[in-house]
Amino acid sequence: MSALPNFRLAEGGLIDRSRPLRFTFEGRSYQGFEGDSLASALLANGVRLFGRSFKYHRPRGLLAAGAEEPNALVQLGDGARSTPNMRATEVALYDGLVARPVNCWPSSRFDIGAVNDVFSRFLSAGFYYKTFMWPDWHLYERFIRKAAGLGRAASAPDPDRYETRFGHCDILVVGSGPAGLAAARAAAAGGARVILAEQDEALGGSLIGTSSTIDGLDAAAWALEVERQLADLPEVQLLRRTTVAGYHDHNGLTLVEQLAGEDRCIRDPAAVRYRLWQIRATRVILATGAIERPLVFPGNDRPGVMLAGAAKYFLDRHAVLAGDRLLLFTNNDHAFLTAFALADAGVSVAAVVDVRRTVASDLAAALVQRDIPLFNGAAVVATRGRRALKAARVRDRDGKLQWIKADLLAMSGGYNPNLHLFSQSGGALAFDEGMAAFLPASAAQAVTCIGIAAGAQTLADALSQGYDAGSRAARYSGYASATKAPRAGAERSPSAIEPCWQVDAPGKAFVDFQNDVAVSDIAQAKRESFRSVEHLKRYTTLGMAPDQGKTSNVNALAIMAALTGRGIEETGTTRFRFPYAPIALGAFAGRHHGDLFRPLRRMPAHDRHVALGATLEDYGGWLRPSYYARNGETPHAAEQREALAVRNAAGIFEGSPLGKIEVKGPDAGKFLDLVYANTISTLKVGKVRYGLMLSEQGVVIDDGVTARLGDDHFLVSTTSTGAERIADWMEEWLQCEWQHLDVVVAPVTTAWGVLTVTGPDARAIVEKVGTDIDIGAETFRHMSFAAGHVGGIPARMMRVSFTGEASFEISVPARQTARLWDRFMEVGASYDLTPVGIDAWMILRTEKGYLHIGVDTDGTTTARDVGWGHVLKKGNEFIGKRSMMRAHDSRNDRLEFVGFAVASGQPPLPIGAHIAGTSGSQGYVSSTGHSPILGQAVALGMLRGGRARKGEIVTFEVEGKRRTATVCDPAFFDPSGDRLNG
Amino acid sequence: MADGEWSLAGEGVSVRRFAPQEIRVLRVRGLDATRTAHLARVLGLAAGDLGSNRASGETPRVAWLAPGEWMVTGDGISGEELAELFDGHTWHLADVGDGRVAYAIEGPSARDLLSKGSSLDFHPRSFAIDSCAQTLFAQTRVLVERGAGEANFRLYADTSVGEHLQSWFSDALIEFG
Amino acid sequence: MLQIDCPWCGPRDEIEFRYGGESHVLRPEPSEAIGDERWGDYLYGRINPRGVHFERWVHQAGCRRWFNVARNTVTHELLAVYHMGDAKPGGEGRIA
Repeated sequence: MSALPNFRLAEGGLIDRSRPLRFTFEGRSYQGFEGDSLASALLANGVRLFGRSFKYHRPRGLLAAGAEEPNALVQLGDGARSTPNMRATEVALYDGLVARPVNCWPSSRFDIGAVNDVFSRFLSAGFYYKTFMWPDWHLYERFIRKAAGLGRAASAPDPDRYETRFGHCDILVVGSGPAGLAAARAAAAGGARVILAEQDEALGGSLIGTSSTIDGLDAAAWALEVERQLADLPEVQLLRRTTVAGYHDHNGLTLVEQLAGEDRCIRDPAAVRYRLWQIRATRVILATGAIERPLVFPGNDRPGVMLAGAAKYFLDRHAVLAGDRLLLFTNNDHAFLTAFALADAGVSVAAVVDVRRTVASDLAAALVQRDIPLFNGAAVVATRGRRALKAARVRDRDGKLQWIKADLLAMSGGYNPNLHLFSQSGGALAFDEGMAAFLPASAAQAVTCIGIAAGAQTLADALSQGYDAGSRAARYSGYASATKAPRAGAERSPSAIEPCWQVDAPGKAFVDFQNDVAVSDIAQAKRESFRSVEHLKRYTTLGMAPDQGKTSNVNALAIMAALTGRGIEETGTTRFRFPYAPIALGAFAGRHHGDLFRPLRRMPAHDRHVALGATLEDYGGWLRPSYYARNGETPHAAEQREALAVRNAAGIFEGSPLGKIEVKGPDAGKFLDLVYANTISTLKVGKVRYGLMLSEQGVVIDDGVTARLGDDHFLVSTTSTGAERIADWMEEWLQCEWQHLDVVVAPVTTAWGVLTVTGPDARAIVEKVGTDIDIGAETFRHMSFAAGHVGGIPARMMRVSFTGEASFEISVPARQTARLWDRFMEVGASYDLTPVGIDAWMILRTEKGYLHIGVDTDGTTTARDVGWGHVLKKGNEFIGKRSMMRAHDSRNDRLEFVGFAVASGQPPLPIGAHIAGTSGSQGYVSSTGHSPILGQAVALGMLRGGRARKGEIVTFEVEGKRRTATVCDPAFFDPSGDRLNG
Repeated sequence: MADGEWSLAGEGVSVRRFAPQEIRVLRVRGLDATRTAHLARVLGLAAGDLGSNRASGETPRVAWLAPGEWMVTGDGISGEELAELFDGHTWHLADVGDGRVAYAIEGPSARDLLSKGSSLDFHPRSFAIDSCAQTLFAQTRVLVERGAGEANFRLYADTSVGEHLQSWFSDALIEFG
Repeated sequence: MLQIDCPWCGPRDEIEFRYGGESHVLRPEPSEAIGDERWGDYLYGRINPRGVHFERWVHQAGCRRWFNVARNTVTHELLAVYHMGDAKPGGEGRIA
């Protein structure tokens, strides 16, 4: 346990003193309590130095108490769970927590990068763009990358669970301060579906730690009462510890709900770390409060300089005193509450420094009562202390300077309504001179801002705005609003703020603490003509990255406005971006990883392949056998054996993913003539025709076979990858272009399982399994179709072939596929019927020179390139026809589909091997392999003007070596096609 | 092939695979109101039951898929009857039962479970009893319908993604301990 | 993510839809009568307005029906949803 002083009060706050928690920060062990944040627990232990700044590695402490904290970024946890850039203010403390600061090495107290601060004049705005350009950025990049960046990503897979959820509601209320609670209650009273999102554990926002009353109750008690009422309503969902990170189109919002802490995730593998919500709300009410502005003065980044509201927050919520001796520096009334509260809690208050010459008499009297000196019309112009604040230099209204000892400087430059989400939604902001802040001007979506976010100055205003917005939203969704508006007790009305965008004094005064942007950087940007706020942002990095300018944006543009002599309104703001606060990547991924990354489809006889020891791989989203290796066989040996079995006996192949689309109607033939490059309508019933489908650019997009089932009824069989794509393609043309065609398209792909039996023994095997279809060589010829039974199972049978052997492609109701497979394997045993995987299937079709769309062809391959120029003679129209008539399409130097014969004894050419020509590639290999039946390598590919070059010897470049091959017809095996009829 | 018994249960929700007797998809082109009413009568339904996003009846149960397109589960229509009814229209009846897998998702937390996989709003105010919708669920295209009772959903998917959905369900149910 | 009002299924998330580009592009036929320029324009000539765009969408994960949407490309506001084959609502350019 450390011997540091204890800054914790004996009572008060929302912590549970009966539940002490031990934790480690930067290797030291500390104790905090349940209800602490990492920030409050460290503060209670006297820790002031939380890390080093991003660019200059200056020592930094806590600036804020919530999501806007720019300095206290920690690396949380170890190993696979290690999470970078967590804001210490948002990390709920748990027993065993381990954290360390980011941006410092070897430690925050002794940091080598601090040398950057000494050389800071070389690291000013735009230094990336200027300094490291000569002779080459890449020389510097390695060092800069190491020095820059915030935190480190874990290198092991994240073991935690993340969930995602979709949500819907009539009204989403963001924020549960007085306005948010009033709005949620009014919105929900009539039964509307309401979601209330609060980033803290406790509801109440600014009501916690105030002395105001509402409806006669103490404000905090009122908040609890409203919470109880909301919890009783079945259509209300309270999301605590939930940050609304994004406001997107059409009232879609992204929320991140923090569930189990790291400690629970370690103990319980089922625990959920974060849940990412995607919510669609009819109306959104933003009660997002305000973020206090820092004052910009030299030395304002020293640990111990903190926002006034943060100092009060740590006292109210965690009973922690942020220092022993406080100096308050303000330009507004509200910050006085911090001096009063801390003084009343026992902190010695050195002084209050107010830039205003006139301070309200009641506030002045309250200071006198507490014996606190007041400097009006004054400013803090410097601070000192090596790793923590020791004193601040005050310039009084007469210009006299004096050092005042303090270890806590609470500052308040006013309040920026928190309009990040409103801005994300497309809403426009306008600058209000009286309040010295941007307020919501016009909404682009169904959204209302209320409370301090909308500029409410008093509790009464916040409550009535909340009630009105909630009631209106309920009525909009058709629900009554039954409750009474809440009433605030008497409160003082604050006197005016005096804008103070920057204290005029020499020294480095920071504007953006996270990105280390000082006033001097803004001045430099202006000198170099980066004056638009969008340019300023990119050039100086101000307001970028996780911080999104929460504490810096308005100060920066006010300073730029002053430098350029423009108004603040005219200078304008940048648009705030998603996300409001950083989100763990795991939350986006949710459960979409591992097996659930994306759906993999299984074929009807999947279990049979598994039982045979098949190696299954992803083919277009389907898990399919690549090969069935038998004891100790290499993949190549299995492929060769399977392919050879098809040539010498028979193979069985599951082709269930082949697309099956029924096209029916009086115009079915006419329609198919339009979508296929060749003519389909002349097909006879019971016959099958091969067809090529083109895009309107004339590019080959699919091939397949079509069977005519009846006069107006066709069955289109597409490639496996084309199954859904081609059904959609047909619908698109029928619905968008040819609505007059009387056709229905019915995709039935997965209702049928497909087994193909192929090889010289195929007919004998099918006969032996038993069929009522006459499959005689003369009666059921190649390219025939018939329906009947196979093995007693209702079946559709096609004589089509992708192997060049006589093939029987048999479709049965999908659930019967495995049964039929078993029948074939039983009967086929005496024929050496061999299960065939995709690898052997590809060898077989390559030997035959059969085109494989998407493998041999790409997005530039036209029908003519694959030898289908003849379709242009077809009289009627078809998709892609006009493009084939372009002059470019009939050039004689296009890439054309050919075979490449390799001398026997040579290994196969690799896929993608190019033929070097004098002006770039002459062509390339698209399919390749070793043909076991021919005993030599075969290859298919594309070659410029290839069809006219048969017999020519071409040279491939293969990994620096040269290989030759002879251009040939694609059909290497059985070029006459006799075996098809076997 | 997703066949046989398969079920899972968590706190407030259960998922059970079931096998409907028969699933057919009926497509008819250019059906007018009179013929639609006639079709409804043949199916034992009121004309309004065939409208958008509605699932009606028990045997057969008819779920709307698209204009002129319905999924019919269970017996109750014959091709001959339809041929007579649709005389002069182009129509198609596909037996897709072997290509579908069906799950019953029940219990007070059923809606929460579904909302992990689909952006559809399953609240009874938006998705009342006898509503149906084709949507994306766990990255797959499904038909969801709501049966009688507050928390009684049926989900029909392509049989090829049955294993995926079952892995998805078993992982998703961890949250419902 | 947009929420698109499918004319048949009602409002659904954009993820259920597929975009089909500019609508009301008519296919010139027959091929023999169409010059290169006209064909090139049909294939590739598309407007890219700042403001109202009349475009096609298909409810891919739902009813698989194509329909037209008038969308403001600046605000993403969907101004109208109408059937394929219907004329542009309000005539060209009248929706602002």
